Amino acid sequence: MAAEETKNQIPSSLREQASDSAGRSTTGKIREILKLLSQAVSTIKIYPSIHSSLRTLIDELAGRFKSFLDEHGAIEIGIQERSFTYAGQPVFRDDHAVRSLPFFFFKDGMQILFFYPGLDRQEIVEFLEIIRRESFLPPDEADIVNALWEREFGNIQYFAPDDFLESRVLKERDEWAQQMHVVESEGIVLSEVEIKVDKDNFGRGRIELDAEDRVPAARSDSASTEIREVESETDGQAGDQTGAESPLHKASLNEPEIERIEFMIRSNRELPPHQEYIDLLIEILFLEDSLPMFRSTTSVLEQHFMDMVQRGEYDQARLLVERARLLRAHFEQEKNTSKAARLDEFVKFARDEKILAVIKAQILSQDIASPEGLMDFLRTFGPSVLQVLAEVYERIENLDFRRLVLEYIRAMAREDFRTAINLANDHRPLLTREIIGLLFDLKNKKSIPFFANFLNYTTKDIKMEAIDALGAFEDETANKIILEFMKDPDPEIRTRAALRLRYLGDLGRLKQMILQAQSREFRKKSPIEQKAIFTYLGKSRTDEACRYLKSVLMTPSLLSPKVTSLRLLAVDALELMSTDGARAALDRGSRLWNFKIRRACLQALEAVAARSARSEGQDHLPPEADAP
Amino acid sequence: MTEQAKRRSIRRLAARPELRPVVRSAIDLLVRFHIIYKNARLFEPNNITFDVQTGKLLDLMVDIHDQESEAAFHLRQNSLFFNGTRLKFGFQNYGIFKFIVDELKRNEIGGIIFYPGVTGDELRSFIFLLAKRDARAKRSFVGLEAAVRAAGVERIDIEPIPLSEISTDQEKNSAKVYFLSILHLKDSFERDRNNENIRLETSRRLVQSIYNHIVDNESFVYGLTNLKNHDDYTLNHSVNVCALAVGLGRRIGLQRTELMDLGISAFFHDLGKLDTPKEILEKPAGLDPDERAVIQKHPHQGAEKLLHLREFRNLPLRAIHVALEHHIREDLSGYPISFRKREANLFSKIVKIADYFDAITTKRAYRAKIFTRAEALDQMLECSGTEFHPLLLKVFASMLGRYPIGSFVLLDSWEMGIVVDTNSEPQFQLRPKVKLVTDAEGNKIDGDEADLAETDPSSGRFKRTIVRVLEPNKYGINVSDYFFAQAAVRS
Repeated sequence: MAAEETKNQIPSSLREQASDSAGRSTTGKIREILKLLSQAVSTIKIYPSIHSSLRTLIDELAGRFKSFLDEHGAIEIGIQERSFTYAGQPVFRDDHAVRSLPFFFFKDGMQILFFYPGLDRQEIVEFLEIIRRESFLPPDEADIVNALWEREFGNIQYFAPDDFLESRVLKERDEWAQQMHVVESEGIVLSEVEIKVDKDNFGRGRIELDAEDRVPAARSDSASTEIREVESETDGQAGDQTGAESPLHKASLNEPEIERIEFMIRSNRELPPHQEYIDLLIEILFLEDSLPMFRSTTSVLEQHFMDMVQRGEYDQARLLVERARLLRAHFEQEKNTSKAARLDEFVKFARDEKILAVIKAQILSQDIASPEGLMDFLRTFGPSVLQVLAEVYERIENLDFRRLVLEYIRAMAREDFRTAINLANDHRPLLTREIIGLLFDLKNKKSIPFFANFLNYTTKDIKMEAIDALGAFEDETANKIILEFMKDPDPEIRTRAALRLRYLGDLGRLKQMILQAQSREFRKKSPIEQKAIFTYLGKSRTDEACRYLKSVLMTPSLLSPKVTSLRLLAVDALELMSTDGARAALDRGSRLWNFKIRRACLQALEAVAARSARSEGQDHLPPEADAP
Repeated sequence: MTEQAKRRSIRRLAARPELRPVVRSAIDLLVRFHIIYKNARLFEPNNITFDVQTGKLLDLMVDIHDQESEAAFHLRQNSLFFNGTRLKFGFQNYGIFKFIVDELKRNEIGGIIFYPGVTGDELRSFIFLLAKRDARAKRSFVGLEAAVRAAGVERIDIEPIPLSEISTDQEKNSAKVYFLSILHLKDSFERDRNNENIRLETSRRLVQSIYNHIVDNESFVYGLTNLKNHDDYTLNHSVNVCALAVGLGRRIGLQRTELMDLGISAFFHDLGKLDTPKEILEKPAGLDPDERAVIQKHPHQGAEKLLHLREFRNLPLRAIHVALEHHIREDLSGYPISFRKREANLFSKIVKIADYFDAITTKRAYRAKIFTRAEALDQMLECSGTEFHPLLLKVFASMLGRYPIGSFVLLDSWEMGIVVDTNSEPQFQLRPKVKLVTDAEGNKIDGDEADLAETDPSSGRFKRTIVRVLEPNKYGINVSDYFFAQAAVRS
């Protein structure tokens, strides 16, 4: 009452002004919201929804929506071809042919858009995402009404009457009829669907039941009783119906049955669609009688296979090939050679270089979603995939995948080591070193000759790895290759080779080494390389080597530090040799004038004696030193 | 529903882990509201049962008001919202939601808001005002609002239904969508035959619209499926199957995206029949083995067509499943034979039920007997578990009712009528609503709609009871006309 009195005291003109002003303010707020909405739509087409500028925009939009909805309740936006209206007034206009938001809704027959209190930021983001997604679809695949219907927003609703659908269907029909010169049958009017029923017929005539149908009617009392029994325990009295549970009701689903249905629905949702599709494709091919159609459907199979590979769905791609092979086996059994041959073509296609090229590109772009899946798929290609893997190996960043590749190569090498050797390449140091390692692990002496391939490599690490592996073989052929490495221009490689050279009783090889040590070139080698060769001689424990080393030891230095250095190396080698001859040579050396040599020989003799004492206790020869 | 069953229902709903507690309370409140509402139709306000139930409702209300400033229920596009959150229904509470939505619409109520402090007396008065109004009358909101205020109910507000929620010309629009679907399918089939792209977005819009009309007026849509156009049988049949399948999918609680895929699948399930010669399809006599083999190719042919179509358009994968599997029986026999035997897809099982039902209730040249809708359901129930999935079939039977919509029936009053609506009360499944088409003497009339659950106040007995299902064709009754007439009248 008080409010009413106050209202009466205000002049009507002022009241109208206040009301107008409130209306203007409301319209202004709506205008702002729609402007922001349009901006957000434009922005989300460019940036993802997590982009900071878009997030700010959405925050503001959500804030404005909330504030308006809290204050004024639901918003009802009218949709015109190029504009939005609110309370019958235009509040937003965009005439742009492509980006116009009103037109985007209008073109699919939407007439009103509702926003309800409770609308939250998440719903706004999803709404914008749907608009973005639909706006990027080809025109004949996009329909914002369908998209919103499927999403079923809680606080965003729309009104799109069936009239639009009517005009769309009729227009499409009209276009088709014109294109095909179809004459429509009577009853279809292409401007409107008309429903014609002659209701006058309803009241005309009489129905005479035949004898068969009259019988139960005549027994209506008993029939009623029968039905009453089914209905409830209420003897047909309407009063007690709420509490009674009729047999029919009992026939409805019980709790376990409801759970079974819910389980069915859940299972249906969890079915992997690609697997289903593959099974369908195979079933369709299985049933196909016509060879041309069979061929056409296998083209779909090929396309689908390629799509799966491109999407990185390797497990499914593998499954498809497996299923195709099963079907092929079936046709072969059925003596249907044409179909079996066509499936062979598919299997060949699935192993084609084009497919490998796609996979190679994916690996190089580091686009490996499932290393295991990819590797399982690649295994189906057999050894032919190894070259591709070798080509990309150095650039694989995914360590899991790299490990899997190596495991595969290892597995293949176990079957035939040549497979692995063929993958080695001077430009693939990582892989080649791994291959050398796994050849070493295999301990297959047949692989030794292939190590000669590494002699011409330029990558030092590979050569070093090869030398180490060769040394571990303890094989004459390996020694032979090591000797070749000893001619390498790189002193480090030569040194490593000399170190890995093993004396295996081949006197010829020993003599060759002695000759090398006696050569003029030997003097030019680095002390480490010289020591490596002397070490080989020492380890040989032969008289020939001993004689040579003794001769070096006894060579006068004549104030030449190089000669002194070589003599000291000979001392080390004799110490390593530890034979009687070696001890005798050292003994003589210990009595020479040259202080350095004398001291070295004495120390060597002490070391030999100590080792000898130890070895007597252990009853075996002193261990060979591997490194200088 | 017994008290135990009600408690079970409430417990099951409350046990759903994904629901916010307050939304769970809101669903509990609706279930309780539904119970009291129905009690209010039978009892007087001072009835002790009613009083106890109202007390329970009030307790729930207090719980909700402890967490929320108000308890507001709104109707938006046939969905119920509680304080801005949509309440989803599943199979088990479908009936309750449908009942409440129907009652709100009939009373032109768009929202009910319960404010804190609402009393038991206010609740009682409000519910009685709603429930005791003439069930058959179309009621205005204004009158109800005035009555609520006059009854001194202050802490319950009602809001009128928005104009956008009121479907004008509902039946006319449903019928239009039905015909448009046939026309669109005709167009699609012709385009496919000429290797032209099918307008799938239009198909989607039509499925959406069919679904919306099922939500609005389920019985009427099922009534429309009585139309059997013999010239364009496959088209007509495909639309019927779509409506029935979407209805069944909705009943078992499929999501909208799934219903869309199901609808599209049903639309195109018989696309393969395009390749079946008309002379075989319409051969009056029995088919020889070769002809049968040709007919049995249509699932494969349809699947193949859809497969190739899918390469270019966004066709749901399930549509291919359904085309291929809709003649596979539950025991995995049927046709076509499979390379790797496996269970048919859920959608295929749904479409199979709808397809079979519509097929055997349609007069075809080669079919010796045409089943009435009730006979068809009986016959199908006999094959439950071997031909059809038993639970899906059970839901389908419950959806159409013991006397399916469109059944032509003889009443114990000697009147004849057409079943036009089921009764949402489970115990009244044998008492649907019937459009009277003859008087007791058999004279044809354009009669009223009779609710067979209606009782004679003097005797307490039902006024009318169905005693026999009749064959409409035998008596020259075109059932679909009675449904289309509703659309035509309103137009």
